Amino acid sequence: MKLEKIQQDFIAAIFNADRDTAIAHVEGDNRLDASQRLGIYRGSVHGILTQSLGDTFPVCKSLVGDEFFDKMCDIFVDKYPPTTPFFSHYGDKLSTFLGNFDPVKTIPYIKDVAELEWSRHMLWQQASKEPFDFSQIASLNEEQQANIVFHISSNLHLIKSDYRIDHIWFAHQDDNDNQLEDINIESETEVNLLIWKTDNSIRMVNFETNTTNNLSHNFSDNFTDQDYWRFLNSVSDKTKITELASEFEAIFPELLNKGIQDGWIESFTCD
Amino acid sequence: MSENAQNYTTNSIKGCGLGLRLEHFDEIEQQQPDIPWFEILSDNYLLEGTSQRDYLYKIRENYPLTFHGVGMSIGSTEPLNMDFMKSLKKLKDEVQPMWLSDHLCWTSAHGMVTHDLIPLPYTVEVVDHIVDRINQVQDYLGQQMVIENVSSYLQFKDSEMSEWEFINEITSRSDCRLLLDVNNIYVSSQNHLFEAEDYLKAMPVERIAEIHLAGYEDKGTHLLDTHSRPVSDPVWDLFSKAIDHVGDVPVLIEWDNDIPPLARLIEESDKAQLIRQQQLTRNTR
Repeated sequence: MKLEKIQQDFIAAIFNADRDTAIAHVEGDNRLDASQRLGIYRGSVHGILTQSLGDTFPVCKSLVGDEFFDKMCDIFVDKYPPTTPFFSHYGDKLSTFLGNFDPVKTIPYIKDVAELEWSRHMLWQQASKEPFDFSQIASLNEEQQANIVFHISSNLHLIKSDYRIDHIWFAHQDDNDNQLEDINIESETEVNLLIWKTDNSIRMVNFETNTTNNLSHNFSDNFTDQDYWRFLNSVSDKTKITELASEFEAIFPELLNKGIQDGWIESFTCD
Repeated sequence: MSENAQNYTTNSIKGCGLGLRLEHFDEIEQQQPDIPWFEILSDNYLLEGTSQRDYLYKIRENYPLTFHGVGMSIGSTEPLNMDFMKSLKKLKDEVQPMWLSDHLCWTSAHGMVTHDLIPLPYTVEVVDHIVDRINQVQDYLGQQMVIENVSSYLQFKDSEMSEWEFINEITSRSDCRLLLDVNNIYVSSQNHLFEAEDYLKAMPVERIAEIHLAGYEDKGTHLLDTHSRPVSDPVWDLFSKAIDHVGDVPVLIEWDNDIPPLARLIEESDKAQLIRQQQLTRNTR
């Protein structure tokens, strides 16, 4: 079908700046030639996507400045064009892109800030789920129980960083007094950031420092924050119950209870 | 379209509605302004359990809604994205819009999505393709679809007919309805140097479900359909002629970029209503 060929050539013109083949399909006139007319569409598509990326990654945009961000998005859009009609799903590759984008090497933390902004963006879109019936475990036979794999909540994201990305994020919020220049960006220890969605807000906690701009969480006296962080990461890695029990030994039952109570472990399967 | 497909009428919506935008949610919910209906950008509400969806349910309690989408890509040669279609059908079944529209264009091809409205060549082959696609959509959704004419900035060498002939063929053969965007007619008429009134007069009046009005930007070499400005004077003139031609059809103001306060949008809607009523009154004398 001729239309298929036209669409293939147009996609190349819009996302690769390769207008040569698409030009052959287009009428030009003395006001705008075929290449300029195609260019209007390339500019429009890139403009729509750049605006969307700016809305999703406002802190990254602020860190590099508007003009740089827009030019960077132009390159990003060509390298990673959208592949889904769900508009709000666009931008998942920006963090990866920034990690390999030489012009931002002087801002080494921007990749992790992008990951944090993407997590927050996606969490806003997560649906609340009906509570899972964990009492089903009791009805499983021994072999099935040994094969249990717990699943981390889709309303919870875990991010590790060498930088105080939570502080950087807060410094860019309207209701925060801290300025970016007042923040010690490099952290002496790894920042373990846990981000989750409640009914109508996104909350963050740094497990290492437990300083969250008044977003503190109540942890147990019987295990450390680091134990809980490691446990949630192991669950996120789909570690089997037997391996979890072996790794966390005596504190495993309490960690599991805590994870379920917090809603951060949302279900299990017997793989 | 299958026998089970539902034919929607425009009888239950009158006057001038507004495009529902996130910026105005709270004001609409608290003040419940006198607006006959809202049109939502349905692509923005497809994900379940989101706060946007919760807001939508609240607005739905007080206002009729229509759906307007971008992501269906009715003109694409790749198969319909069924994840998208399933989400749209579920939203439609929950919210029960008066009707559901998308654009006569394509937005995706070869696994990539433009999120922008790319025009089609006006050929017999493409008419056949689009009619088949609209029938697929109407059968899947179980209701008549409404398609909108788009603004365009280029024309294809392969085109065998005018845009208005293309639209007539497609709406007639697929038995779908038409969302007539008067601003888009004007923008394309200036970009391609045809008479906007010729286009308007050729439209299948009995199939028009709704009229859209919006603002464009003059880029010097062409007009760009940005939805970021008030409706321009030439478009108001063309709108008046459209009412003369089409009659009493619901009208909607779209404003998607540099979105003004709700009160400014209502002013624009009031102006459309005034022109509409004046024209309808004149025609009944």
